[in-house]
Amino acid sequence: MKENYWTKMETRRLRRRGFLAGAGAAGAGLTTLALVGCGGDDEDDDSDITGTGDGVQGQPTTSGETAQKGGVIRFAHTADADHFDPALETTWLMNLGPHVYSKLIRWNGAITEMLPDLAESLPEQVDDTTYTFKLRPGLKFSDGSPLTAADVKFTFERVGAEKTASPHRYKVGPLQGIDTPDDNTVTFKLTKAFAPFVSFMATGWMMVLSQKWVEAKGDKYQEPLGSGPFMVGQRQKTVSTKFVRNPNHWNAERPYADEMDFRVIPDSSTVVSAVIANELDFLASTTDKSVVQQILGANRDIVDMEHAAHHWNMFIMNCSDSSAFKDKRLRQAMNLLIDRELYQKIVHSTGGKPSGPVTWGFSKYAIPQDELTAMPGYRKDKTEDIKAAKELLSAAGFASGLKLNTATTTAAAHATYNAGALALKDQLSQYGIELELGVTDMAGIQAKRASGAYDCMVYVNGGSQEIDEHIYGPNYTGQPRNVNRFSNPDIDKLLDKQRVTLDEEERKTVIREIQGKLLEDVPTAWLADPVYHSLVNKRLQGYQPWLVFDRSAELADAWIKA
Amino acid sequence: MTRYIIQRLVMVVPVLLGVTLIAFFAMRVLPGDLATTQLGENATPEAIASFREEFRLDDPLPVQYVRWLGDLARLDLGDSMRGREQSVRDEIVSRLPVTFELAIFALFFSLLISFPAGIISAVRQDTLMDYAARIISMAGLAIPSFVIGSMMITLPAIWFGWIPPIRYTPFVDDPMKNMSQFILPGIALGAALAGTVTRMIRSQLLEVLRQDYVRTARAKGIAEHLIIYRHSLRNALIPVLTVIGLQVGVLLGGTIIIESIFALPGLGRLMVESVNLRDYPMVQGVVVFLSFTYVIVNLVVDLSYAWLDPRIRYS
Repeated sequence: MKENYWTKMETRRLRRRGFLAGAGAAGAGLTTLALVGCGGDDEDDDSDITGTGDGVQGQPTTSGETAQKGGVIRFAHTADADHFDPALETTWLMNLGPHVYSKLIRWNGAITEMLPDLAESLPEQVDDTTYTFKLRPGLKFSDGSPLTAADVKFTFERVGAEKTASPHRYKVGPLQGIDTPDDNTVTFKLTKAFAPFVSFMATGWMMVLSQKWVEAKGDKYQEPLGSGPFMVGQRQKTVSTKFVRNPNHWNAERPYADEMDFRVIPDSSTVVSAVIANELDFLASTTDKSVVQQILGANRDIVDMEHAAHHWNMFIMNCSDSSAFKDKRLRQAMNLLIDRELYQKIVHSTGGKPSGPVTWGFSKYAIPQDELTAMPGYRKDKTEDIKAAKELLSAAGFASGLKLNTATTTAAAHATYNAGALALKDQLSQYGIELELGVTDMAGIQAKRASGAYDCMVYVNGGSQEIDEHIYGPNYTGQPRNVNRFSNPDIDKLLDKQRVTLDEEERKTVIREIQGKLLEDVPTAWLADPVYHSLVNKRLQGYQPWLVFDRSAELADAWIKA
Repeated sequence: MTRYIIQRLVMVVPVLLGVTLIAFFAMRVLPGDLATTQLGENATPEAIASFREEFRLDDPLPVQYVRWLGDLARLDLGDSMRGREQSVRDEIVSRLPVTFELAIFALFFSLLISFPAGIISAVRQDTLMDYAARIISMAGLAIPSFVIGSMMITLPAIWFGWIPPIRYTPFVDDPMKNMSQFILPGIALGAALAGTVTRMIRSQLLEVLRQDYVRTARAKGIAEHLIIYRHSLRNALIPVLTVIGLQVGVLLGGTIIIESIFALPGLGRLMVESVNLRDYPMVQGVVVFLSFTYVIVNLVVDLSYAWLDPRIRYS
């Protein structure tokens, strides 16, 4: 039977309770109640979608069928990119860039291995400071112009140049120079060993650009020329971008889809409705249980993929002279007083786990849960921790309590910040610690982070596939991302050491040592991180959840089931 | 009349000057600037300093204000700080048709509902129809447009697996598709105005219908519909028109949320995006433009009084 409006309607879970709840809410004009009321049907009202995230990282949706070519992948985000220049962008180009640009190498979606992209293979490491990439023969940009080693050299020299002021400059490491002995060979020479180099080259922003194009268009250009699986077919900025297959992509087998339709929908509840109505193929990484229930309850064609992510929740404490947190004892006391299990229950409706300085989602480097939950501040029984915290508060002169200027935002896209701040305010008030919430918007939060005009804040950081990004910038003395103004020479030494330790196992040991030191000095009280849910329409197969903000798990590998 | 128009236009200047002052300094009072929002967390102090220098954000505020005012006097709204060579004027011009069309649809739907409802409510006072019209108009007033808009998106999706079109198509590309996109947002935005105007028409018409000249008209045997439409409604319209003029500001403000819910790329959305990113020239440009529009609309409303009531003279 041919599918039409009425047959589609029959397949939906239009249940009595859902309908009545929705209608009642409509009558009362309470959309929020409608969302909750329509969330589930009778039989799964009591279902618990919360999970642990164990062993589910990045499993692609697949029914075991052979991938098919053709079709259109439809997805959306609440914001659009301002331009297509990856060297000068840090946010929403991630929705577009990975589809039109290629990298030398890339991480796979599950972040378990690096794969060659424009390069034939992973780089040859000539010595501790030299890496040689061999490009695939006959590479072309989407307009048919050749992509050579000169373009690669131009791209990364531009990122590394001081005058470019690229926010990604640190990723090319201590770059001494780039040689191109021939059109297909690129050799990066560093001034000293830099362990994250290869991994950084595989992260999202290291996209290879056309020298001619960038020189002609200038910085922050609006029309891209790349060598990725897709190219931009039609674009209405802030409305939609249509991607079409790049006929000059090096891999003739990719992409599977003929087109991709990216829409900008500023209101997140509209995005949810569009997923329910089969207008979009997936909703990426939500931590809102009601949204998951609502979508699954309303559309049987949606699959729920549970996964971890490399994002971390933290209670940032300003360690500079302008804040009481300059006193390490106060920071330690806060770390001991915070009940992470309670925080997690209140803030993350989809469940989660406590995290140390490396989020549990980045399991390769995170302190194992059994070890972490035995540590002070993380123990289930808080009796000892509270006793020790009170002694520390007393020793620091805060026995009678104190007030702390806490920056927070009620921006809908960053609901965790305020939910987290409120949860901690409630927890800490019983010990005489008052978090005075100063509500602002995200620009205000960024300004406070930059200026240091705050005592503390709950913040969520998004990380990449490379551990250095998680621990170096936020903790090293004087780094822009060290918004705590934290400084510990011993930790700085270890952070430097992990950067020059090329042996992976040895580096892991150093990183573990850094985490131990950070938990002693606690510039930040790391909290608990959620289990994420990506909701994917069954028509989209081979979808990999995005575990990092750098969305390297490109949609070229996904396909549309006819 | 001409003199009155010139006088009113001259008065626009201090009003807009006040608007520029508020728009400029209110944005500067907010914490943060585009340097921190645009360059990201890894931006070095040097990169931030370079950005601020490029856009002369370190100049004293009065200097920045006078410079902007000078550009404004030459009708130059400046460039956005977000991208290269992105003119504020061009951006406003590209977004204006969306907001304008949305406001027109909202106005159309509100008048379509409020005129018959208000008239019936007044003519059939204290009947079931009157009560129904009053309840509906109260609901239109009481329920915020964003709630109505959200319900229009959410409930059909859950119940019928359908949502209204959420991809903007320009009028020139496909007029029918374009107009179909504005029906639901127009209703959502126009509901409050419909409620206000319905109540206004009802109360004004009730008052006029009790006037002596209406009684006289009835005594002369003039048909009831002529009494209502020719003799009463026109006299009742002046305060109604004033309310509609004043509500244009509410309509323009309402587009901010409705455009986000229905993914329409209008001035409201541009304003929200620009405020969030602290794109000063863009916010200032949009605020000045919307204020100018509001002032002009109300001038047109004032001038229309004379058309509605010939006794009114502008001299």
